[in-house]
Amino acid sequence: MHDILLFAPHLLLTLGILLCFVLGTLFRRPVGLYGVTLAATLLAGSFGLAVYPASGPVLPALKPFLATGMLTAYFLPLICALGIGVLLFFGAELKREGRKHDDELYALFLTALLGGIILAGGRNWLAFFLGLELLSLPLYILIGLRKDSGGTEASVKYFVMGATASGVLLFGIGLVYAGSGSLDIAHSLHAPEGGGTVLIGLGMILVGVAFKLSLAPFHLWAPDVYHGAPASVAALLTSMVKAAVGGGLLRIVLALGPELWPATVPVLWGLAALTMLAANLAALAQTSLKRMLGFSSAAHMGYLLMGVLCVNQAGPGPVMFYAAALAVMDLAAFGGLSLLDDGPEPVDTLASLRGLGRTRPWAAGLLAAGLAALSGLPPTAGFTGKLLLFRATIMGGYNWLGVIGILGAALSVYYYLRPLVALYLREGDAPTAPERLSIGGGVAVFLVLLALLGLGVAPSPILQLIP
Amino acid sequence: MYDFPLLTALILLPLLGGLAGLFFHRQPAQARFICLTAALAELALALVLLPEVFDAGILIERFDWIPLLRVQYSLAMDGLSYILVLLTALLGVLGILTSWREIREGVAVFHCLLLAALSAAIGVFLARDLLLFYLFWEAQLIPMFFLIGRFGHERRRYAALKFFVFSMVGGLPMLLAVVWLMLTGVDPSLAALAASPVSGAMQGWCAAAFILAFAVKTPLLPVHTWLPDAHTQAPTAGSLLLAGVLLKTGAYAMLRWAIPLFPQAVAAAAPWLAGLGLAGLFYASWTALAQQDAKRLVAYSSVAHMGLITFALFAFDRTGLSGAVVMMVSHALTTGALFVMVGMLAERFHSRRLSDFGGLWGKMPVYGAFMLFFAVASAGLPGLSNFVGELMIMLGSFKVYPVGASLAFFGIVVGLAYVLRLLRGTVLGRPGPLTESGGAADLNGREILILSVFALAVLFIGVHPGPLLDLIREPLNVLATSRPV
Repeated sequence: MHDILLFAPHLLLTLGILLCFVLGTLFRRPVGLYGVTLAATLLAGSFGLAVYPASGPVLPALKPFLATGMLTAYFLPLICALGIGVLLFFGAELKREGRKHDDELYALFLTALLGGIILAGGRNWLAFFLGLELLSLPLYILIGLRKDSGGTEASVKYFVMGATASGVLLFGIGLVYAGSGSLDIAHSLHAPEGGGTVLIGLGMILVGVAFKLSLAPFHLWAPDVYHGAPASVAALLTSMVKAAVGGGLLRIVLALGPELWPATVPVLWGLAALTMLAANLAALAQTSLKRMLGFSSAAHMGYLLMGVLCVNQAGPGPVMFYAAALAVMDLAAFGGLSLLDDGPEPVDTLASLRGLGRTRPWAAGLLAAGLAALSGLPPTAGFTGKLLLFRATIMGGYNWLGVIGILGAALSVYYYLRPLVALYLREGDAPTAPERLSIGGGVAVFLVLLALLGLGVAPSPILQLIP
Repeated sequence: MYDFPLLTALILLPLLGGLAGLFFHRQPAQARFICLTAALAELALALVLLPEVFDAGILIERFDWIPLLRVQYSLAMDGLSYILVLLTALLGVLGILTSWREIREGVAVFHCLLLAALSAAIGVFLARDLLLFYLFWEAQLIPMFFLIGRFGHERRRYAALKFFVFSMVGGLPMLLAVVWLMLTGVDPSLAALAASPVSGAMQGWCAAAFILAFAVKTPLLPVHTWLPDAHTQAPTAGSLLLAGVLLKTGAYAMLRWAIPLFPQAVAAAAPWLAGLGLAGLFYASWTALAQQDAKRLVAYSSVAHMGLITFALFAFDRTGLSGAVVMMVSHALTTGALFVMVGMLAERFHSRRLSDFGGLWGKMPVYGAFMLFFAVASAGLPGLSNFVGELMIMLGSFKVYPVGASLAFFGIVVGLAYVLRLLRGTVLGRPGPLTESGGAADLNGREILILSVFALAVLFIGVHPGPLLDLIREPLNVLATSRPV
């Protein structure tokens, strides 16, 4: 019974996937798909919140697979909550595209979610890889959701990059196993016998993860993909996926023994510094909002890496908080964009945003709040998150990395402001229709704004969840 | 400790009033009325607190906010904070009255932003926890950005962007320093941080980061270039708040945070900073002389006055400090009034070029009289508020920097020249092309009311600065003891 409870979130999501497919087989235009998806996510999240952290599973077959500690307890409900947030925008998008009754899209979404919780809650390399693949495979299809050529191009690009990353990652896992003789993440990285082999393997794993998190210099695919994908799928990519991969990365880094740290530190340092500078500079030059947000999201992973680098001194708290904060901010930005982009004309360039702040106050307000938070303005989640990360960096003694981070943040002010100027300070060319917010859209705006401000003004409840 | 959180109410009242007004965005008249009521209530609340501040000396509110970081929600109001809060509340009311006719579109949004700006500034004046202070400091940017960018004049977007980028980029290094200070072991309250300043080279770095942020806001010479643009493009009430409140937060933060937190570093850098203040005084006075745009002229005069205030702050003589605070208040009143008057001109003629006007006295005698009053007040006529401030600054700083103080005196004389130019370009001199046109209606009752409030305040401080000096005496004494020589 105990083990079933531990597995309940995974089982509930699987059940949701199956139910979606069954409904799709039984009816030509199935109804209730959205409800099933939402209920499965909600239940999975609630079970995750209630059950974890727990003592390990009893069954010997499950024991090496499932981590039940505080990382799982934090990331599992978080991923489900982010999933609900994305779903609220996603549903509206599917309705607009006329694909409200496509069962496979809902099932794919749930599959990605399942992958996410396996990745963030798995304790061995097989679970890690399984989760990552389960997370990525549905995205290849979801990214290509739009019928124009941009969608296909984005999908193919993400597939090629993702497949390469998976290959490198799998090879790295093989090397780690070869060097340590163990598939357990913590065990294989802590005082392994074949240190050199494990180190090379670890390097390859990091490269694979860097692809998934779009860290520089592996970030160049990200803007193209976000540009081609529907805004709500981009929201999924930047919020839920990054939180899950961030959770996985955190598990690896926390397991690193003192033998492996000295070689890892310069790599992480370099990745962080390069990502913050390169991605922020590239974002400055973008004219498309989605591409800009793509680079910005990459830049923020650089800030996150600063925290990852300092887990030994500052603990995993700052990274965990920032993973949540960043996910909410990107959810706000891309979610707001997906609400705005519902007409015949695409809304993506700065010119197309003009004047929308007045005609569409809620959708534009969500986008604007997301942008303001990403730029680190108080009192938003972005400010508190940045504060904690820079605090961790200084605690770790990496002052220069902190200075580089501030430099990157200073660069970013300009490109976050330009869309705000377009939204609020310019007049639109054509009269637009007044705002019609669906129920789902309204709930989404409210919840995301609440999270955005809540994490900024009263972060204590979340901080108390973190050791 | 109070049962009712009066200080929090001071901070939140304008913001909540503005948000309430936002609900009436389809009925501009109601929105305006609600916001004016909120601003008046704020002013009343500030006035009610006056006896308390006189009696108790300091009002405090404090509770835990983020225990993990040892951050507290900690507010305190002493005489120095009080006088600036009162000024802010007064300018808020006057700002709303000034915009009565100027703002016709987006009335609710405009007033909400105006009141939000008041809230943030009052937060800066009251915060006694480093993180809370930083929060309000950065939050000030948001309403002002939209005020300038949405309701300003021709080049408003450029000015708003420049204002925001300068302030935010100037503030980011301070974030790093704030984080560093939070890690030094004590809790990040002003009292604890001032009791054990960081030592060694780090003090220098932290001081540099803080002073950069404050210098952008004040503004000090090389980082002042956002100000003339922001002032010129802002709507009248925006200019009023910028000059009267936002610039004051810069000077106030120098006094309240930078100097007690980094005594040695500031002491070492003081001659340079005082010199920059002087240079700003001369440079801005000189540039003001060359301006064609009346609002730009007043904007540069504002930079010049702030240069003088900075000079006095870093001379750090007890009398000079009092003078600097009097000057801060007085500058808000006189420069604010001048901005309002230029705004009245622009509202009537849709022009701010000095060459368009002149000789307005004949057609608008009341306007002319007020203009003359505020112009000579700004130039430091004895009996008016600026004179008190300037005299005390001269007396005090002469003991510390005799040469600098003598130079500052000449800087003030240059100030006379641009004031005369402003007068000749508007009310005196030969009538310009626009003066002859039919739009020259004299001031109405509302405008006279606004300017009379300014004028009475200027006159009151000028002839009877005692109460003001009493209020700030104790806080400045406390600040003065913290400084090593």
